[in-house]
Amino acid sequence: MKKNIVVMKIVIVLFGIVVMIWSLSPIVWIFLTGLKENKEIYVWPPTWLPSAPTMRNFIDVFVKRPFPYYFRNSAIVAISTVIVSCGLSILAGYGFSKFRFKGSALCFILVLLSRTVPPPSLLIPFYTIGKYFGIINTHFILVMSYVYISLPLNIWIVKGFFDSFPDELIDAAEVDGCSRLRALGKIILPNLLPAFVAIAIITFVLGWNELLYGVVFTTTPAARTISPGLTDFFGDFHIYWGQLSAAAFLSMIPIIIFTILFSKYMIKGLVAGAIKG
Amino acid sequence: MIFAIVIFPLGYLVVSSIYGWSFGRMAEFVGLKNYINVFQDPDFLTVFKNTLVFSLVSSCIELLLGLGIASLLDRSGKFEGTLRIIVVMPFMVSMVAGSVSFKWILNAEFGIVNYSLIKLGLIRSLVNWLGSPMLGMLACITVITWHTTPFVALILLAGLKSIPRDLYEVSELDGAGMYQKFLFITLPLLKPAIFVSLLIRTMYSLRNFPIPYVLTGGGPGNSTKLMAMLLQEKKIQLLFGYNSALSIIMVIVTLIIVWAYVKGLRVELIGKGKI
Repeated sequence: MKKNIVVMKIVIVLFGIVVMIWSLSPIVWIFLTGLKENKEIYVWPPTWLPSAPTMRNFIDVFVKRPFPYYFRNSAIVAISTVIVSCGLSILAGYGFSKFRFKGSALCFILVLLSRTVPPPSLLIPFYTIGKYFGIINTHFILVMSYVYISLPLNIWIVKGFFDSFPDELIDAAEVDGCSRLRALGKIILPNLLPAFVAIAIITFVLGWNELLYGVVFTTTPAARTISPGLTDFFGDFHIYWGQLSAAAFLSMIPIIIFTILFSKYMIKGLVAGAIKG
Repeated sequence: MIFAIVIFPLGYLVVSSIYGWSFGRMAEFVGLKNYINVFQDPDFLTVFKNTLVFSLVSSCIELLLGLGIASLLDRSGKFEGTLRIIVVMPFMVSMVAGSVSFKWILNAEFGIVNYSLIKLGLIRSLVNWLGSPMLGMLACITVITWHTTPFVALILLAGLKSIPRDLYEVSELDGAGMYQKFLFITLPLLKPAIFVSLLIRTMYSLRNFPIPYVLTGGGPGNSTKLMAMLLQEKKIQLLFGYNSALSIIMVIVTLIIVWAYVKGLRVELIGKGKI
């Protein structure tokens, strides 16, 4: 019996190590490739560690390529999406959770239904709307479509959190003379802050990482975001793997930082959205 | 307001799918002609098959791996926090960056995978991982597995944690072994979590765009092209009628798969007000 437990422990540890390597190796490898000199990238046999680490590629990405724009655009788009989507979903979640009105159930089901619609199938409607208002190649169309994709999930998560929030506290606030909206701001928001952090980060990650709409709706460096920006490299006659690796790694950095700092909230939000949704 | 936001794009899609288009303007009513065009297009059939293979195979692999990783996390004690951050990392970084990385790792001439395999003596000559239909699809499935398994694992982990420990203790008293415990306690109680994770990730892989776009560009030929990519290509060619019909088909396929899962696993949905 004792022996069995030891064997079990070893198996668990080994499996844990394999999982860690599997998860991290592509990220680490792209970073190492970015550090290598160009001539070292194209050698056979490939080297594991860069023999002379250099920041050349990381600098080139900013100097020779329009990546400063891409990063700026991604930041603008992702942050605006977070603000709009979270603001709307907090209000909508509050409404769906704490108020009953005619057709509220139907509205809610519609919101959820829109989550099953694959974003690629909405390319045409969005494109036509964008064309009509002349907002193709602007941040606006991207923010609009990302808000559309992220809203159902966010409303769903937020509603779940509101549902678990005791009504008594809101009632008490009302007795003390708060309006419904003030109760939201004064009582609920501070208490549910972690939940809102969770949806904010999930939405940010979505806005930062999204590719399809970015590729279709933006063509100029002035509006392009980082993910479609990365695919620019494939249009070249020769793929500059050093720069591409550096750029790909740079694009991961904000996400990696967020994951390390807030992984607890993020996981909570993701799981809440999934289990209940 | 919400009604308008949700309904308008969809309604627009339905309407535009039954109209003919010329130069991006709705021209005349053509009924189901767009749909017939889609179904007669050999490209569509290949792509449709690819998408199904891609989604179903990766779902199965991910479920198994996810179950393994979830039970690993469940048992890792004080390392759980750290391990969870590491495990969840692939899901957080973008599919684009992940695919870029895999594209380089699998590179035929300078890739580390080819080098390692030759070193280990498993292959004799360089393998062009992204250049053949079979291997290209395999590569795409690998990348999505890398990317979404953490998500499956997290949901299953939440499911595992919600199983009361007493049940295991009681069954141990009754003399249940490891397999029996797994079969008769873990699996039935994990069913909702399994269902939800399968559902969501199949939905997500049906709509996947970045992986084939970056990794293989849909090629060689059409062998790894997925539906979302076909949509993007036709959009560039301004085939709006074809495209709308294809979009509607995609929505319907998603709904059918959702329905099939619901039927297959017989999970009560309405009570929970589900998707």
